[in-house]
Amino acid sequence: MSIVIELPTTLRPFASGEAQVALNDHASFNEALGSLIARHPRLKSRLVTGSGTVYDFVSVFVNDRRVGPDEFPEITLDDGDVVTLVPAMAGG
Amino acid sequence: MNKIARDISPALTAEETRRYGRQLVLDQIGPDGQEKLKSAHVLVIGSGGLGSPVLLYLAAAGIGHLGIVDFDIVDITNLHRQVLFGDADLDCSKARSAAARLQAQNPHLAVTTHETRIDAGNAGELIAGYDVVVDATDNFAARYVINDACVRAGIPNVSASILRFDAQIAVFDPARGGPCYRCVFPAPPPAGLAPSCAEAGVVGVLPGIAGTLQANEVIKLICEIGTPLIGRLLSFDALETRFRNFEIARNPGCIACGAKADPNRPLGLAEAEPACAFETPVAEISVEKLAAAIAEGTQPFLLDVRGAAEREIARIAGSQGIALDMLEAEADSLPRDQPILCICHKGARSLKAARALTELGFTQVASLTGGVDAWAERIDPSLKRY
Repeated sequence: MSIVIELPTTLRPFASGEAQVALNDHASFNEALGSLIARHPRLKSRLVTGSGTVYDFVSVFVNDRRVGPDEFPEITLDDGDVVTLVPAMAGG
Repeated sequence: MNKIARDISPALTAEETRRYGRQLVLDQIGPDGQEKLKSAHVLVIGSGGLGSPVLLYLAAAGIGHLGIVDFDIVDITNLHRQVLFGDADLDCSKARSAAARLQAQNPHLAVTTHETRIDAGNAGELIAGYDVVVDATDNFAARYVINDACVRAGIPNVSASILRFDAQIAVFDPARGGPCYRCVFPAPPPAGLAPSCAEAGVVGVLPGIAGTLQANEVIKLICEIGTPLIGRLLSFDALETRFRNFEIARNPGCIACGAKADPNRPLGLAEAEPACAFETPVAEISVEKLAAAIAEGTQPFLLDVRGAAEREIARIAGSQGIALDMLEAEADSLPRDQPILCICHKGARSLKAARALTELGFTQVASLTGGVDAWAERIDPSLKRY
């Protein structure tokens, strides 16, 4: 089983420049997030709070549909799923 | 209540019929749609990068009344993307310069200028009476105030934001069943995790693309045509020329539009988080002190935390470059037995860098107040300013 996590351009410098990170054998969103951070530890302080939850300014989409923080523990990922992280921007 | 009387006759004159003829012939618009545009009141908050194309296209399209909220003046660094303005407008009010340009473009247009910064205290009054609000601002505080005020007033918020090569566009309109901005981004980033366009840069055409998409959504909402960008977040990657449509939905627990939203909650963000109070204090030195230290041969290690492109424009001789984004990863290459002076463009990123190094255990770290810009202005005028 393989899933992909897509990173926004603002986070790529903290993930060796990668736009997409492919992960194997992850059944839940929280496990996938943990693996992403284990692979790229510098993402941690930019993605999750001190208590380990995803920052509110980062919206999480699974196959282009937003999932709220309350759903994270229940999200199961299937082979081929794409998780996209979209941070808020304020420039105008 | 609105500043423009609502008794403007929506009937099109012969001249207006000719002027708007190319869109009047569209079945989706026609004379009825054009009259709706003529009767419409649209408030554009921010007349900079996004606001420029929004205002230019809405004025040209025949919106009857445009309101402009902007407290700022035109700066030369605005001109590569804020296409409402030219050299003749430098140091002039953006709102008034924009109004003059738009009324020269279309004499049928009524414009109201609000030379003020939108905040929790004035937002409700500013947006009252408008049919659509366009969020073209450049900071999170304004975005949350605008969202909350629009939700409370039941006015659609046509929103866009940009940074570097990325744009996001959406219509937030809980009154039509869609989510609000807070449903998607319940809270802003902590200080330090969200660079501004001034710090991170923005490619000049990007607000043109995002702003024209906002103008298109405004016209669709007023004419009640097509499928508005409600319940969707459109993202655009200018480097890859890639659009993405993300599905977004109401958050039932949203503090602005949820079922239990408090109608008396103050608009916008809660009292500004006292971020500074918890930030590591950092020493700052002036460009004059640095110049004296260099003259005496006692200068610290000069660490320039800007990106390579910025360092190419202008840099202080002898400085070494590590971009702020890479600082944590490359901190081991920095000397621990020597004072380090962090340098950036104007002194904001260097403060963050100095703070980060202090938290990594470096004990002799400072930030150069005013950055390379102050150095170029007061010490070495041969350097280019940007």
